[in-house]
Order: sequence, then structure tokens, then C-alpha cells
Amino acid sequence: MLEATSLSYTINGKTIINDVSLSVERGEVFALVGPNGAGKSTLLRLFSGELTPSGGVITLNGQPLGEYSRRQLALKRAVMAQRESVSFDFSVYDVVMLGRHPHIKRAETPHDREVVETSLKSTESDYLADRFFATLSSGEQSRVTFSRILAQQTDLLLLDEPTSTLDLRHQQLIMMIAQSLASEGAAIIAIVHDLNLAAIYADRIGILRDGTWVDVGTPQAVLTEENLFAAFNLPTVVMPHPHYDRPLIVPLPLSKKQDS
Amino acid sequence: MTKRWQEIRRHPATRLIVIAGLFVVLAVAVINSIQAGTVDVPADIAYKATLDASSDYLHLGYQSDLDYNNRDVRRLSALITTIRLPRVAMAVLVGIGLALSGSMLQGVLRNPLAEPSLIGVSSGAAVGAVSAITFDLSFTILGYDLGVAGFSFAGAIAGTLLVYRLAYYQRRTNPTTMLLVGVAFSAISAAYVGLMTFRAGQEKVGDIIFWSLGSLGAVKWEEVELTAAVILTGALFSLFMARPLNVMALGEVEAGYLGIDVQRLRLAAIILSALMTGIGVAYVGIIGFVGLVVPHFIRLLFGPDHRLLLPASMLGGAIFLLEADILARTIATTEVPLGVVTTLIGGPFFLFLIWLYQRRGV
Repeated sequence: MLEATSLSYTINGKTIINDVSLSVERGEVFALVGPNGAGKSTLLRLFSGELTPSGGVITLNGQPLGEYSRRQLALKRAVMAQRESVSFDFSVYDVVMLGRHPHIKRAETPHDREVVETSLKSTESDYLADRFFATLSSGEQSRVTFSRILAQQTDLLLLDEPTSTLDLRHQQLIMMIAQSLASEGAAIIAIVHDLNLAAIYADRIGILRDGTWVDVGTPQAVLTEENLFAAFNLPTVVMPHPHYDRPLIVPLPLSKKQDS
Repeated sequence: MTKRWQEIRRHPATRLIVIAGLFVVLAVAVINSIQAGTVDVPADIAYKATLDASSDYLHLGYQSDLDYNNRDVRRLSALITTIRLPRVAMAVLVGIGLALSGSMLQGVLRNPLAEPSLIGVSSGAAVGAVSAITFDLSFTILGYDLGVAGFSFAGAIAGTLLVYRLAYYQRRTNPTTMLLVGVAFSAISAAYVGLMTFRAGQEKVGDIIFWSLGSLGAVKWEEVELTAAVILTGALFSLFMARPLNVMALGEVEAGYLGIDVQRLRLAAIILSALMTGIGVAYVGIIGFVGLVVPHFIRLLFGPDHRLLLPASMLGGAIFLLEADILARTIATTEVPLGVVTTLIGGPFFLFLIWLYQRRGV
């Protein structure tokens, strides 16, 4: 579905992304992990079409990203950025309805309202519908923004840390929704900081450091103590998960020697 | 806010009812404004003469039962058509232009402080008008004598373009930079106006002050026609921007993800505001606070949805300016400048709105 070939992105003489290739297919949840400043968000913004790569090509369904109009892209891919601030007193319901914007010709139809309500229900946020978005906690805001992304009903979802402000239950819930969308034929690319969340829900994981891949592959293949040390400069213990056929990662404190 | 209230607020019928209600209030304000002044006009003559004049102007062939053979009726009707009506029409148009510009700019710049006077329109207009007054500049286009008004309008457009250009960097306009540039530009223009006032002779000082304080007195029909053409066209265009402006509330980047061409929307809103405010300011001078107070008051009452906010701001702006003008004409024995009245009412009212917002904890 999304195919990127030897992407690079340089701004003000600084190379943020350097020769990155990736192909993500329908039905797949792809997790992007890596340390702060590795270029994960920049990569996602390149995939979204917001930024234009300095080198390389991105195609969506075989067609170069640059050939799509803004509205065509809005019907094909949804993007959840890290933090969302809504100006003025828009209610949660209004905000999620804005996710329907590319679909609405003149006025919203009962179908649009149905989609908005279902999206809010699926993230367990329907009880917030009449609150003002600006008055919600950051975790609640994230769930509402995710509902808005769902209401956009696209086949490609680009999510920048969708779970980082959520409580334990809703972290699992959001990743489960992503997984079920993938099983219905969507492609999901998500930046995830919680490696254990990535290990359980991702079909493939890419570890990014300094704008290039450390490794790309299945959670079992990629989440190794060596790779994680190379990426995060942090010792970890990787063991089999007690319930799933996936790795379980336990981060260890920095030792003085490794810190230097 | 209760669930029931939100559901009502959301309902499409609510929009129609609110707009219809505001139309009724506007109609009452129009009649009041025609009645008020040094000569009191009875209500029935006011509205019948207005209908006759409108029907005559639009060639509708309607004729009320007013007895034009009566000398008093003839005198009042002449007063209405030549003095009161152009004034009322101008108040309505300028009110629409200022309040609509404020709503659009606040939405497109995502800043509640945005206002026509903060993007260079009023500052540019002041520089143009004051230059024209002090140096006796004037020119004529298509038979229209464009002295102060022409230079004021040209200044408004030039000022806006300058502010826009200075805030444009790396293919986008930064709203905060734009407002900062606007503030600096307005200070510079105020200093220029100060210098010119200081240097000018007695009679020109009067003209400068009269223009700066704003007034709807001595409005001519041809001026109303030109203003109507610009402001009503702008108002029509603005309605197509309502939904994109809603999406802008999510943020610049998010709006882009949802298919909005943010830079184009921004430029369109700024150009429309400059044209609508520019022409209004050119003919009636500086009228403060309408663009700030009206949109915020409408938002507080009916919510931020631009599909209601834009038309309701237009009507609200027209009502506000009509009432302020009635006050300007009747509060003292001589007419008080309109700009003084709008700011004296609008300023404290704006403070009251801020107090209300704080109470509500938003």
C-alpha cells in the first residue's frame, strides 16, 4: 500500500532521514520505535505527504504521493499527530465530526453522525461527546483525536504515539482497534514508545536511530538485546512473554560504565 | 453545559432560527435608526417611507398608503431617503464587514485577538487618509472623486499586503508573527498620524480628528453603492469558507491532513477582510472594537461553528453599529463620533466577556 524507496530528508544542512526504505501492506500493523530525535516523526510526516523528501520516492497504491490532491490524500490516509490543541469551544462531537470533512459534500448526513457515534463508542469516549475538547485531560483528548482519525475512515493510518498519554486499559484498547482495522484490510504505521505494546500488537517493527534503520522485521527477529542496546544505549533483558508467542522486554538501569 | 443544550445547539434548524431571529432584531434596529435623530419620525411613516424608497430604488412597483400630498409626510420622506437611509445602509454594511472580518481572521489565524485593525488594514487606511488630508491629494476614477476615501482604501490594502508579506516566511504565514508585525505597524502609523496632526494647520487638524474618530454623518448614496458591492460580495464568498474555517480549529497541520489548503484559505480570508474593512474605513473612518466584540459575543451565545458564526456575526455587527450610531446621534445635543461610542461600549463589554469566560473556566 505505502512504499518508500531510499528516502532522505535534509533541512538547514542537517540530515534527519538518511536512505530509509519501507514497504507496508494492507493488513499490517507496523510499529516505528527508536530513541528521541531518531527521526520517527519526520518519517511519518514524509509518509503523510506533509513534508517533501529531499531524496527518494514515496508511492501510495502505486502512485507517487505528490500526484495526489490534498483532498484525495485526506480520503486515503489519516494522520494522528502528537498533540492536538483545538481553538475555541468546539465540543468533542464537533471535533470528531471534523474528521468527516473530506467525505462531506454540503452538509453532514445521518450516516456521518452514525460514523461519529461509532468512532466515539469504540474508544470508550462517547460519554465525553458534549464536553468541550479543550477541557479534557490529555489522555481523553488523545482518545477523542483517535476517534476523529477513525471517523475519517481511511485505509492508511499514520499514528504518532497514539498511546503515550493513555492509561493501561486504553493503551491496549487503541492497539486492539488498530489491529482489528488491519485485519479488515487497513495498513497502520504507528510510532510507539512502549516496546512491549509494539511487541504484542505489531506485525513488524522498525527500529530507527539517527535517521536510518537499525533493523526491520518481526518483533521476535528485531527486539533483541543487541539491537535495543544499539538503538537506545540501554541494557535490557529480552525474554519470552508468558502468555503470547512474543518477546517481553525489561529495561535495566544504566550502568555507570555503559553510560560513559 | 448540559447534554440537551448541546443537542439543540447542534441541530441544523437552530441555525435557521437564530439567523431568522437576528434578522428580526436587525429590522427593528433599522426602523429605530431611521426614526432617531434631531427630528423624530413616527414609526409607521419610517417604515412605509423606507419600503417606498426601496421599492422605488429596485423598481418593484410597490406603493404604500402614505399620503405624499401632505407637506409633513413629504418633508419626512425626503429626510428619510436623502439622509437617514444612506446612513442606516452604511451602518449595516460597515457592521457586516467589520464583524465578519473579525470572525474570519480569528478563525483563520487561530487567535482570539485577531481583528481587522491588527493586520494592517486600519493602520494603512489611517496613513492613506491622513496623507490625503494633509497634502490635499485626490484622484478621480470613472467619475468617482476619490480623495480621502481613495487614499484610505489604497492604504488599507497596501498596509495589509505589507504586513502579510513581512510575516511570510518559508512558504507560510505565521499567525503570531503576523499579529506582532501588525502591532508594530499600527504603532508606526499612529506615530505618523501624530506627526501629521502636530504639523497640520487648524482646519486640517479638525479633518484628521474627525476622520480618526469615525462618523456615519454625510454619507452619500454613491458611496453606499460602492461599499455594498464590495461588502456583499465579500460576505457571499465568506460563506464558502465556513466549513474549512471549522477544520482550521484543529490546527494548521491537522487541517492540511484533512484536505484544506491552509495558505490559500489564509490569503483568501485576509484579502476579503482587507477589502471589506478597507472600503468601510475609507468612507466612515476608524470604528473600533466591532470586529473583536461581536464575534466573541456570538461565539459565547451560539458556539464556534462558523456556519452559524459567520452569518450571525454579520447580522450582529450590523445591529451593534446601528445601535451605536443611534446612541451617537441622541446621547448629547451634538453628535458624538461613532468610533468613540463603539469603543466606549465595546471595550468594557469585551472586558465583561473575558470575565464571563473566566467564570466558565474555559
